[in-house]
Amino acid sequence: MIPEEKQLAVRYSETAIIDGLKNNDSRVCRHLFDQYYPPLIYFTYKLTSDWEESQDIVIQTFNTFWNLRDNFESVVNIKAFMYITCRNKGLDFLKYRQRQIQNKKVYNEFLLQLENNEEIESLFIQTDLIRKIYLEAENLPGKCKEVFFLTYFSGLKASEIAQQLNMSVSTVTSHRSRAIELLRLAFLKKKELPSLILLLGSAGIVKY
Amino acid sequence: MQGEQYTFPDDISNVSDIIIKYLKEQKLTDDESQKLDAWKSKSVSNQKLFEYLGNGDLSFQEELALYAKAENEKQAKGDKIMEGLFPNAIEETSPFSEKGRVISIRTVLKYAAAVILIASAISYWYFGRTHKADIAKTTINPVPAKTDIAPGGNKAVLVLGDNQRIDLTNASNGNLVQQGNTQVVKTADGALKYQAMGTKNDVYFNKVITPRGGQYQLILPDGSKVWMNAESTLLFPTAFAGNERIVELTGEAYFEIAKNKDIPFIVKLKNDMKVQVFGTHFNIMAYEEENEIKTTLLEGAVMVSKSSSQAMLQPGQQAVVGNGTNGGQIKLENADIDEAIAWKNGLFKFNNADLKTVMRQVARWYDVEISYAPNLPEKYFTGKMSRKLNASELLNGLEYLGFHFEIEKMKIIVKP
Repeated sequence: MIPEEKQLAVRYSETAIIDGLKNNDSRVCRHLFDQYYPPLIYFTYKLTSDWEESQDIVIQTFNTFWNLRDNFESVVNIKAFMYITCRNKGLDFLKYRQRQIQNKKVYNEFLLQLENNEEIESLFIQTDLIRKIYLEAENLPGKCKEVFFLTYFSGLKASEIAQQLNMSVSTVTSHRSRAIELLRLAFLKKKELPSLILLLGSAGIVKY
Repeated sequence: MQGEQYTFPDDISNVSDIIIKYLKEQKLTDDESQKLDAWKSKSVSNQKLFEYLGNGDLSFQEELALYAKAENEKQAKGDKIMEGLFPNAIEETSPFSEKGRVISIRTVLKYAAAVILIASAISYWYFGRTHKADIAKTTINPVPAKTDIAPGGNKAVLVLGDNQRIDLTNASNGNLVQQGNTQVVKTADGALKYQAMGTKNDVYFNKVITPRGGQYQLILPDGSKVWMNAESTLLFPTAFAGNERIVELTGEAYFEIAKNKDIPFIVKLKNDMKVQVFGTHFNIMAYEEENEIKTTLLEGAVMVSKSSSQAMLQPGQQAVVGNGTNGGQIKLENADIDEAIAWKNGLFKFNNADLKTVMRQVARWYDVEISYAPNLPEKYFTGKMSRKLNASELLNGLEYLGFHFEIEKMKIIVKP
């Protein structure tokens, strides 16, 4: 259904991955890292609100995973291990930080809320969603994709994009609408284009 | 460690696919609608997340931006991690080889004879990599730099017939010393060979002692091979004369005994216990501090005796005897071969082991003391890990069961 799964499946089947683990295969290692790093960072960051700490946690988790690689029999196990370990380390970090913070009562409640599995599970889904949406965007065709990423992630103005990609502003605009159309995601589609830019502007993402 | 312990709430992947379909205003099947409703009603957080996505609130862009930021970092971070995990591609040649592949028992047996005497120039010491970039946390006290402990390596002392001691760890390769008509040769890092030079049989008794954090390999005068684990002692003659080949063991060793039908090989353990060998491969674990003495047979045949009881082992079996002076009966069990000789293949392997059993092995290999906080949960470990890891890396792998470990200079503290 989602293009990415097919894409990855072509390169590494589950058997290939599990065998690669047992054979200490560096390509499989890199593949898994590339696959898991972004969503794990996103997940851990949403949990801890600390980007650097999230980086440390994810890298540590990956190292631990690789040390334990012989023990995994399926890709689901790998995914679960990664997320659960990041969650645990994230919660540990928050508890550690809690000791340093003045307003402990508020923090306590925040932590209690987080340890509630429902919140975490919801965060798993949110992470998975973002990951899939991002990957769909990655599958946009050529120029369309460039315009999309420059718009939504670099926050460039249409005129700046036009300059960078050496195209007219109207071309940029039509690429944008095509991207949105292709992604056909409700939250992008709802407004007309001019007001879209307006709203992006007010969200601080696009300056004009 | 056991992969099966990790499960994911079943429908996570499905649910996110269904949500995307919904957002794209595609039609959902009945089954999908049902799953989506079930997920939504499962918790308040789910409900909220769904509303948030559906209302076109553009601050969702920020989420995508965060994800993209991580994506942009992954190349550099990936390169760095790969450097750490795969510094050189060196083909391993011996069971006690550098970090990298894990060799199965079948591979070891296949290559065993050829492998032993290959001089290996590869260092067995594992130098830990530094994980943490420096963290500048201005509002919060920084996490203190952690001490770490290197794993064990090839270390031993040789005690000659006249009680002279030779430190094998730092000795150079080549002829080491002569005992009567036997030349003692250090063949490689971590290996010692006893070579008869003539037929005259002056016999001396030598001892090889491995410290905590040590291991060593020996070739006895009859060609039998012995791998010694940490904190072990083997007493043996420099030449086998007479109608029996007798050695004495405390600690743990794996044996591959040269065939000789006429002259049986006997391993003596304390408390009047003996293992009599008929040309074969087996492991004996006889540590003072463990509850039991275990003899595990891989190939061939052995007879285990204690006082007047005896038992004959088949390959794949192990004999278990209680460790007291009154030890008791010899129990025969089916063995997990991989587990019994994991240490020889450079691994820790546990099967439903309790925390203390695991930590005793850790203590012997890392040469540390263990102290236990009160109220530790009762948990059991199943899985395997490399012996070449630094203590912190090994302990990271054990944390998932709900323990926390503090490493100090010569000590590890276990906390819930």
